[in-house]
Amino acid sequence: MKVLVIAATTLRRMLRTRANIFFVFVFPMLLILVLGATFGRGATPRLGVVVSRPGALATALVRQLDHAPSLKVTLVSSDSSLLSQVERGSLDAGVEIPAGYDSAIEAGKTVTVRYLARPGTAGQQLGQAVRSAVDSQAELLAAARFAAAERAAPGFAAGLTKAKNLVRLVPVISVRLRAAGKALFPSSLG
Amino acid sequence: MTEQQPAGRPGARPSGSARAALLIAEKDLKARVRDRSALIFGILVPLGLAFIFNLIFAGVSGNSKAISLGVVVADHGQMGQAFTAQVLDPLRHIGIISVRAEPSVAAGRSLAAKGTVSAVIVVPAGFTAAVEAGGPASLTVIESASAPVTGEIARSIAQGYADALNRVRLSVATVASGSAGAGLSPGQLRRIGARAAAATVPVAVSDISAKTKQLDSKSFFAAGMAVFFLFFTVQFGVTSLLEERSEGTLARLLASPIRRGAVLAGKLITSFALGVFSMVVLVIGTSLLFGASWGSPLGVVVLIAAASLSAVGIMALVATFAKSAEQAGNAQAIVAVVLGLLGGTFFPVSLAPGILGKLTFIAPQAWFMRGLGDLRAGSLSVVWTPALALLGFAVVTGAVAMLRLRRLAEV
Repeated sequence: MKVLVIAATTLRRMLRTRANIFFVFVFPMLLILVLGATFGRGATPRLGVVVSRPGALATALVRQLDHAPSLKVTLVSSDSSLLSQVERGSLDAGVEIPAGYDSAIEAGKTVTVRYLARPGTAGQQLGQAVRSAVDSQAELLAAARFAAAERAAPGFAAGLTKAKNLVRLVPVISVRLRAAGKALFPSSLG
Repeated sequence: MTEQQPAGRPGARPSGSARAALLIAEKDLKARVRDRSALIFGILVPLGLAFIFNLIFAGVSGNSKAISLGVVVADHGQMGQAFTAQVLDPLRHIGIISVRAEPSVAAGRSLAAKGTVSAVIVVPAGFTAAVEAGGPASLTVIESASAPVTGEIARSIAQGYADALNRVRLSVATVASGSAGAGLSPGQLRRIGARAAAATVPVAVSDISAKTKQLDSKSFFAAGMAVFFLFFTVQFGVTSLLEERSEGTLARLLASPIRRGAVLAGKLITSFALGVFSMVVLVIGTSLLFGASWGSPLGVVVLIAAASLSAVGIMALVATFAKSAEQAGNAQAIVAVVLGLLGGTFFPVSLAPGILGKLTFIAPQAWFMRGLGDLRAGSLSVVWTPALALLGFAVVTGAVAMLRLRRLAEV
């Protein structure tokens, strides 16, 4: 009985100090909250994309980037904001789609999309994923332009429609995945 | 408390107030040096923690190493050679990927299973023939289960090559399909294919290298711990006012011909001096002991001075709500811990998406960390924004604290 009384008294005295309540109850929760919010999104790299003038083709490119499994796309309003977010690390890398993207492609030119990353291998590796997504788009656009140039379609738009219809029918050269070895952590751990 | 005698000299005029304040600060500083509390909280603990965090996390937050890839070219046609020449060799030159050729799929697979390589790209036998025949064809990527992320990169490399082939194939198909393409001879198709392969690529990607404004892990933990404990170190000065009141020495101080403002100023100077001193020691200590790089010394000094002022202001304000030194210490600890956590001194909260990434800037610590990060990439002028933000905290909280402290300094 004495033990319980001593315990109860000690507990009461501890709880009387507000700082103790904070460090015992509030602080751990706060720590979990902030840690979770900072790192809880998982490890998918975040790619900022600036679309200077969103046309149909530029939008399609953004969608293609977003579909890449190793990228999470965030739209950013301006080039300067993209640069500072990449530099500060709140984005892992960035892509700038220039204003004349749609018209230049239709005119048969090569449009240069700028890829922005911090120095280091992580940025260059992410660049591979971006290039791959851009290549998938380029496939359709090249076919559309080629069809128009070879007069197999009346214009770029018609060529693009034709290419989009055919892309599912033409046998593809694909990449097959195989796994070897055991994972360090079971996949159920995420 | 014999040190206060000089301040009590008869005829201490307002012009002597500054001198009185400095004397009070000197007395307090001596007391802090003697009881070693400032030394422990201001220097030893942050130094130790920065060292430990750095040991734990240095490997985690560092840059990833170059990927090592295996490649098996079982195809003897031109496509297999083209893959090595056009895709792998350029990557090898950039230095982000090391490629080792393996004689067989089995050999490659066993390397991937062991984790020696992150992934193996296989160009299977008969690949060229399958591509030229226009049927389905495939490259194989064997990912090492222990390196799923880099396996992804290997897949994008293989996919990039497959996409280039698909591009030509689709271009040929759009021309050859329908009535226009009916009855094209194999020779015509080959010529169309050559023209398609030579056509201008619609989209190219150019690399722009951005600077980094992130602190490396050593500097991050050094700066984080230093500014986190800064808020504890500066407590000593202001809290001693409460101590002096409970010990009865405040009454004696006020009875002497020293202006009340001078007493307060003395306490604030003590806090500021302790803060700046501990920060400077930590900057030098972490630079020498574990190679933290803080950036331009002048910029760092500006940020330290501004951060110390903001810490003094905030901690003084918190102390004014307490009745005893102990109560003040508790409240200050809570505020320092919450602001430190929110301000990203333990981990970079400013990288958090959404509201938290913005909320972090209600803590002066976040501005200090941002200032140091910006300083890493930019010229000295980049410190003015964070420094002004820090001074803003100092002015607002300091002004309110002074108003309240004047009342506190009445016995």
